[in-house]
Amino acid sequence: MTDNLALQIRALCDSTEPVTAAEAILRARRPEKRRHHLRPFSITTAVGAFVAVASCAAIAWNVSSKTPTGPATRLAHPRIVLTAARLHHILAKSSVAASSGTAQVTQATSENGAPLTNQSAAVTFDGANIDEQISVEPETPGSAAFTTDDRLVGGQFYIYTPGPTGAREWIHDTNSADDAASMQFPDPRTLYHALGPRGHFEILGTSTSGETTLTHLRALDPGALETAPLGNLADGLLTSFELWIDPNDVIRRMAFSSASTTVTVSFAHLGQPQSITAPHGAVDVAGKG
Amino acid sequence: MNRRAALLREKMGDDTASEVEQFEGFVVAVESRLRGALVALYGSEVGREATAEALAYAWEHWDRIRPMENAAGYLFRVAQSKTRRRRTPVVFDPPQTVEIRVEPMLQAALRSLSDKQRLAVVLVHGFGWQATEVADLIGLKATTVQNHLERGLRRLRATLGVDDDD
Repeated sequence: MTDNLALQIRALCDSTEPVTAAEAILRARRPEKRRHHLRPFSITTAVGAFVAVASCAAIAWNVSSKTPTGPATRLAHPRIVLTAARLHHILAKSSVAASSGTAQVTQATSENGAPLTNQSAAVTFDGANIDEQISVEPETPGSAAFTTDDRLVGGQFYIYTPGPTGAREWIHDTNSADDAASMQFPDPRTLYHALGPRGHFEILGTSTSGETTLTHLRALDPGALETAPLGNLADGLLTSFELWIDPNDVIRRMAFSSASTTVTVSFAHLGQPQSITAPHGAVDVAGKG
Repeated sequence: MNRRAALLREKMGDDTASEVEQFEGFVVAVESRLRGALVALYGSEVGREATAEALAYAWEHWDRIRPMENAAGYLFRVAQSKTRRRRTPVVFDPPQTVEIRVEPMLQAALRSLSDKQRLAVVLVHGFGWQATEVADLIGLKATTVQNHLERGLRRLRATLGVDDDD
């Protein structure tokens, strides 16, 4: 018979030698210059600042009047950087438009371009109600994908997963504290708030999606963007952040990357009511927290 | 003055010795928790390496790190940014004590958890951290940590075929 699970976990995960201060100091690249180092010169920040100043007279953004169809078109004029007011407008318009709708969320981890793990969610949202049908590919090749369904209805959290009986069933968490945080993925609409006041975006060009022309934006300094709204979709500072917005300044697509994770979010059916109801026969379980 | 600071003073000059002592105190305060979280996330070898890189970063930017309210949480995110996920799965070194009998499938069962579930299970259930402490370190809400813990334990127990009472 094996020992208590907690003891086993501790024994397995507590076998590394501590890292000492001396080791850290010796490992540091230039410890003798630490007191004299200059703030690193950031080319991106410098260029972004220069372009932002130079672009102040070109803030009239009328990309919609230059709407070619077909493949993405690069604009043949100097970089245009959006103002903070413009970003705020995009955020406001998107938040209003996305009162209801659907989203496809994918999250992939990779190493040197080779995929490691993938998970995706088909998300439906209507007001505060939200449903996520999640599929997680296994890390171990040959194992089955792990699927689950998370649902938030009327402030109550439900999950379709193996329950107390071992069989997959709907479970209702009767502890309603901060149930939105119980969802596997954050509400896609909260991702908008990564834009925040520190975001600086440039226009890359336009492309056509169905009958809609989308404008492609890219963050100039993605590391400065807020990662808290991204929840578990970011594993550190962002290395890239891109948006595609429609002629009404509504975000239709997002793509962002952090250390080893790439996420895409595609919105559809914005403003169309969605039916999200509490599942029948859910087993009540008092969740901790 | 401790002996190590004296030796480093000889190497680096008097001006930095007091900072070394301060940094040593900082490492004593945060290293164990930072290493525990990074080992839980990446496994023994990569986790320790990530801890060393994060603390080296802290020394390189000590003037900025020192006054931070949640320096450990910041260094955890630095470690994540610096650590590249490898093809090899998360591996934990064999236990150093033979007094605890470890289920042979425990390693694989821990690997089957998501990163956040494994963090919550190892740190809260294994090492007795509070959910708020895990939340502060990895930048999540305490209730989110609790939910990751519940899901992770449920899946772990199902995989190992053990009861709730362990």
